[in-house]
Amino acid sequence: MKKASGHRLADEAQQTLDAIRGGEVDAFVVAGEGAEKVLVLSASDPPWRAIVEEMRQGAVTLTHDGTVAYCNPELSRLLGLQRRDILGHPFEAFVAEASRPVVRGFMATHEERESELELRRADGSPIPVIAARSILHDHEGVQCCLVFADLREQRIRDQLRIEKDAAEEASRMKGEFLAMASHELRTPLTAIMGWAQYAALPSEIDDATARHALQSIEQSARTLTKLVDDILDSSRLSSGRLSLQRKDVDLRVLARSVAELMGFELSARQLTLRVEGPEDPVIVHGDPERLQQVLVNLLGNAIRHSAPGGMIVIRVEEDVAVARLRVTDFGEGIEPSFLPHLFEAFRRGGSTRSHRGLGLGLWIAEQLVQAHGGSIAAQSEGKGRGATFTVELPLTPAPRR
Amino acid sequence: MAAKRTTSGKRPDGPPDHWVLHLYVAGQTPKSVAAIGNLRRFCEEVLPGRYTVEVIDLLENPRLARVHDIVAIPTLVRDLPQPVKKIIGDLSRREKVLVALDIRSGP
Repeated sequence: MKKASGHRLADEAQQTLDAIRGGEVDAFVVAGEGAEKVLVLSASDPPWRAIVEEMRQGAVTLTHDGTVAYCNPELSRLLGLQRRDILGHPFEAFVAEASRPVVRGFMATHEERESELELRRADGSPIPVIAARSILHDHEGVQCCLVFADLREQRIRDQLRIEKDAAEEASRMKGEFLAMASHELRTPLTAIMGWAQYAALPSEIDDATARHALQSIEQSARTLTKLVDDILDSSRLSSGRLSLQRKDVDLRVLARSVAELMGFELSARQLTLRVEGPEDPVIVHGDPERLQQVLVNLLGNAIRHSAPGGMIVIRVEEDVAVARLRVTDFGEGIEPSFLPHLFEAFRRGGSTRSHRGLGLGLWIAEQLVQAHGGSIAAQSEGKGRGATFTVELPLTPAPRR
Repeated sequence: MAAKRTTSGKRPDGPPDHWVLHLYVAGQTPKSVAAIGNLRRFCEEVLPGRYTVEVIDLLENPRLARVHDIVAIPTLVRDLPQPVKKIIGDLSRREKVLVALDIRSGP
């Protein structure tokens, strides 16, 4: 019959303890630096002490008032102190302030228990450990005995794993981006090539077709320009090489000019755009072209995610020290689970490829707003319930003249 | 010599009722000496003619502790019959050894 190995180890540990208590053993094998070593007890050694002295975990016993009565070499190594600087001192002196209640909890009970806490080294740096309290009966009566396992290596391993996962995710998304970028660039190029070849055919084409060809070529070229601009911007933004040409900008004027700029896209999908704002100018100190880019991206996003015939509202507001731009649509809405990833580069909502774009628009918008000292946030009641994007920028108190 | 072998049976891995035992000791410590004596007496009495005992001195060769993951000394390991069993201590308590080795009393 086979027992689980954990069970067998526990059995053995119990047997070892019994043998120690019964005085049936007088030597131990301890793992030294890579090699085993045999410790022979002299008649006067309590057997447990030999084990505790050699073990790879820190250990102390405390008197009833919390004074260190015994400390093993591993703990003195962990704390970076000589044993004589630990023995006889209150143990709390070697514990980070926040962890002292944990130690007091250990002192207050006679039960065995475990807890994470932080020791404090002589140089003040913290050491995360897991501490186990056990009970020790000896000739001095019941003592509180604490054993500590260093958690630092485990923490470092955890941290490395997190960083590795993040790096892998970033590299995966870059790969996806490249695939998406080549696809996105090829589509308008194909349209341009197609129409250009058609127009070059010797056969006559009528005016209406020619106009349509030119419009399509222009539209495709504009899409290409936007894609290339986005890619260049994102590379500039991620390397911090963006410079802002700041001047006073009235957000109401900005909103109206963007509405005009996007007239073609709006009418192509039969969307109504309403621009709302106060009577007085709402002035921020920023780069007008970049702020326009932010609003174009947000409006473009709203257009892409609205059903034909729908409505979009741009609202300009002024609050205490804050200028606010809200873009609200009544379209697809955003899944709550996607909200946190909305402003990440290369992310696009939805699982289909029905939406054009590189997934850079919102990321660029956020980066640009942050470069202006502002913030951007998205709200949605969920799928099918529309979305509102809110940009907040520091308000320029009053237009100086 | 790190190991002394006392063979009372014919082959170390002989018939199923043949016992192969390893006793780990540390030189001549009192408990080691006691364990060797106790084991000899015990085997002659309970397993006459069907056991092999190997005594391993870990003071001379501590690395051998790895073979059976020995922590406390003395420790007796029963390699055969399967399953492997360990008894930690100087084998002074006869009842404990009988139970631990799973030896049914009587022939």
